Amino acid sequence: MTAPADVREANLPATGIPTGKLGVWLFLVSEVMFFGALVGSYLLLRMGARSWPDPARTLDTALLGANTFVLITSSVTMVLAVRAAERNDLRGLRRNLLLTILLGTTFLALKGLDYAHLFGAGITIDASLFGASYFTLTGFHGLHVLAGIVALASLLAFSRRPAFARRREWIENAGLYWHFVDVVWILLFVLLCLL
Amino acid sequence: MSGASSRLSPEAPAAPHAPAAGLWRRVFSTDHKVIGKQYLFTGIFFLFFAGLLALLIRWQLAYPFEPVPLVGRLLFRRDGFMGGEHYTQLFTLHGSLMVFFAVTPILIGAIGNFVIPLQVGARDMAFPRLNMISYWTIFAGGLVMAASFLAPGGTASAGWTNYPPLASDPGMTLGLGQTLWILGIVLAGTSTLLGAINYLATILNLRAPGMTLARLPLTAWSFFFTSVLNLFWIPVVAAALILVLLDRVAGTSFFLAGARAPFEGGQPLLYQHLFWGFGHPEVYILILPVWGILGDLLSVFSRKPAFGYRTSVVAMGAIVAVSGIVWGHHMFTSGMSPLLGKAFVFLTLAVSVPTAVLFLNWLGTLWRGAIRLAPPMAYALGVVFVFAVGGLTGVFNALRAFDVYIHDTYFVVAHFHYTLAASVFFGSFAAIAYWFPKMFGREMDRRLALAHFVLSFLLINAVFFAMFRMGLAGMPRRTADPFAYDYLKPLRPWSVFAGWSTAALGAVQLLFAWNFVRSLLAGRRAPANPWGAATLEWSVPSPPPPHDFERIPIVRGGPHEYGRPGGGGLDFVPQHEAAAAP
Amino acid sequence: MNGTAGRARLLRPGAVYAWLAVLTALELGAVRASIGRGATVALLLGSAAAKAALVALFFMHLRVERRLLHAIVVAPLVLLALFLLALIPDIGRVHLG
Repeated sequence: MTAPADVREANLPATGIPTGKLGVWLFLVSEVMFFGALVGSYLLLRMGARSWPDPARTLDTALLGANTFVLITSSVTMVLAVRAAERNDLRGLRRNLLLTILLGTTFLALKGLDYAHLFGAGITIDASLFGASYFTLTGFHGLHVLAGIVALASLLAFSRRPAFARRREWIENAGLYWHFVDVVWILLFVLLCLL
Repeated sequence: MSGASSRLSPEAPAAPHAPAAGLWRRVFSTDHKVIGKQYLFTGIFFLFFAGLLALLIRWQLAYPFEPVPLVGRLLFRRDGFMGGEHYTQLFTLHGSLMVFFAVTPILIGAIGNFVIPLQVGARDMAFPRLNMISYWTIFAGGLVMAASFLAPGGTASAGWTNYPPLASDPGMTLGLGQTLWILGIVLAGTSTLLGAINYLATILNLRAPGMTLARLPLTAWSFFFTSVLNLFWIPVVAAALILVLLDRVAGTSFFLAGARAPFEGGQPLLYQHLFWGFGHPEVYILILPVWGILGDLLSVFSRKPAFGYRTSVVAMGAIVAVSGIVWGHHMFTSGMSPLLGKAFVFLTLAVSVPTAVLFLNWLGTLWRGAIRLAPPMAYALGVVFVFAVGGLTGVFNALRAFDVYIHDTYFVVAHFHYTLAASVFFGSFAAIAYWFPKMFGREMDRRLALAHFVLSFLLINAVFFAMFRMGLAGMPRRTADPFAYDYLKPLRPWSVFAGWSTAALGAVQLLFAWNFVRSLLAGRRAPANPWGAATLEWSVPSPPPPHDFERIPIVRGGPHEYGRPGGGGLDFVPQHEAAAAP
Repeated sequence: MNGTAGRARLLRPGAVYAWLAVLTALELGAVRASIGRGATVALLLGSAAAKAALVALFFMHLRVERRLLHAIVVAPLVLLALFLLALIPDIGRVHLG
């Protein structure tokens, strides 16, 4: 029996997008809505607030700017890790994954420094709308960075197992998440720390 | 052809579903059919539980502050009286358990899980392990909700909407129960969200060869759309609930204003917008699967193609698109800018157009069909009636001037129970009756099911029609004793009528429970295709083997090819078979 | 698309990195220079959008992905924008009384 003309290539997923990647993108949509609701609430409350502290005087923008460079750099090493995985270059993959993890950890460490600085100045989550917004938004972002570090560390460990050869697309999917967390920070940096 | 089909799911036939696996594997199964059943049992449990809460609510409204018979001493005070605070807790938990732990698990969790892979021609969900995690997440949520009843001061009491400042100020509502409620709802939401990712990936990517989008059964389409809404809007309500949680436990003040707020700048109204931004799509999340199931069932039991298949899909898509921007009609009495209010009135009324398209398509399917009144069809016809009542009264609510009068009355309660209780439950019963043979390999007793339908239909209309009557007379919602007000005293007989009708409705559900359990254990063995249905799930044995399809089928036709000669004297053409040459 | 073939149409990671770094430096400069509130806000928002777009298009490969993924990404942004715009008169202007 010959297959009818409308029967597509059966070895491709029906959309042409690999299923794992599609799943990650769908998950990221829900993350966009989650952060969108949080950031949107912050923007609306801030627009409606009678006064707002000048972030440039309240926050250490030099430290936060340096931290932005750290996270952006981690996105670049993540890209290099994905490319290494595609080239089957396991050494390059591991080196870049490790770099990404270290940069992510540095970001969290500097974030801790930033928090300590604010606590010292009496800015806490329960002291003002600014403090509440700042710690809630950066806190949720920080948790996402932490989750990313855990995911990348598991992939790094997994990359030593033979089964990894069939699962290389996991690196690309983890990279999508990592870049998304980077995008969130890029927006938070401007909306929360500079504006 | 065989080469093509075996490549589709290279790993599926291997180890994951090996039947020899022990108890652990069976409980923590990744098989969508097992997970579907787990959702079904969980959902039915909460359906009965939240139904009993409704019974207590109706007792209080029929006989305000009289001792509750039988269970009063056990549940409330020594003298068996229900306090006002108990009443508030009852309607809070009735609503939230029904929405998040009964309807969602039964319709989306159970039916969605069981039916989607079988209907699209896949061997399992796209992410089987994630599917298992989804179920255990809502299970954990159920445990947290149960624990909230044991919290000092009892469970949550801020309504299913959880409005601040009532919900966020620890001094106003009782402490731990409210916090646990928020955690339980966030867990249930997370579960549904993970399920939505799985359903979307499965429907988009795992369709069998030839299963184009234009050949997808309406049930699968409706799960696609409902998952889109879950994906977009559950994160929004999760964010809003988390901000309330922070207001409660971390000393923030996002939604608090005035003297009790720790600092200025918070806005209670913002929460309402966020909540209903999710809350209105949520009503479509619950009703969409019913619409899809109805589209397929009416066609099967009328032995006619579904009328206007494409327009039904487009109508569901249009409703999904508009549903995210109509939330304001839940807030006409909260106050908003007049321009925004007008936009919400217009958009809400606009939703009635695609809804009417769906409705007329159902009538078009029935028109001059060879109708077979099997139990699933009886339930489905019940939906057609109760949804018409619920839908039409919804148009009234959309009009601001009228809404301001009826918004906080039983009119709105009756309206949304006609859609979300009556329609959704008859839809769920239709789905359970229809797929029960496929799920369990046994048939339900048809006479018992029909008796359950007829009695439930009469009684559910009695309950909610009485509520329309009381609502139009101005009886307010959420009041433990409305008859403390003189102008409402004449309505007391209606409330007593609704109360006893609810009790009878509850008793009738035991018929369903009896039928369900007995058929499960000792029902007649079901053939592969008891209803003569064309979609793929009926092409495999009942119950389906662990990997669903011996071979991934190749789809050659649409989902509703009824009333035309198929092979072997059939009056329909199954989707995996080519139509006979004319 | 999948694999390296489509990647030819992507900016190289080094170039994207350079752009991201320059734009970040620009943002830090803008808040220190006195160019007026309006200009600062416009510059910061424009720069943040450009940086987010750079990461999404080139690091996340949206530049060379299928239309379905584009729709998946654009839909939530449209919804969020509508939500925000609808609420500015009620929530965002509350301080004006």
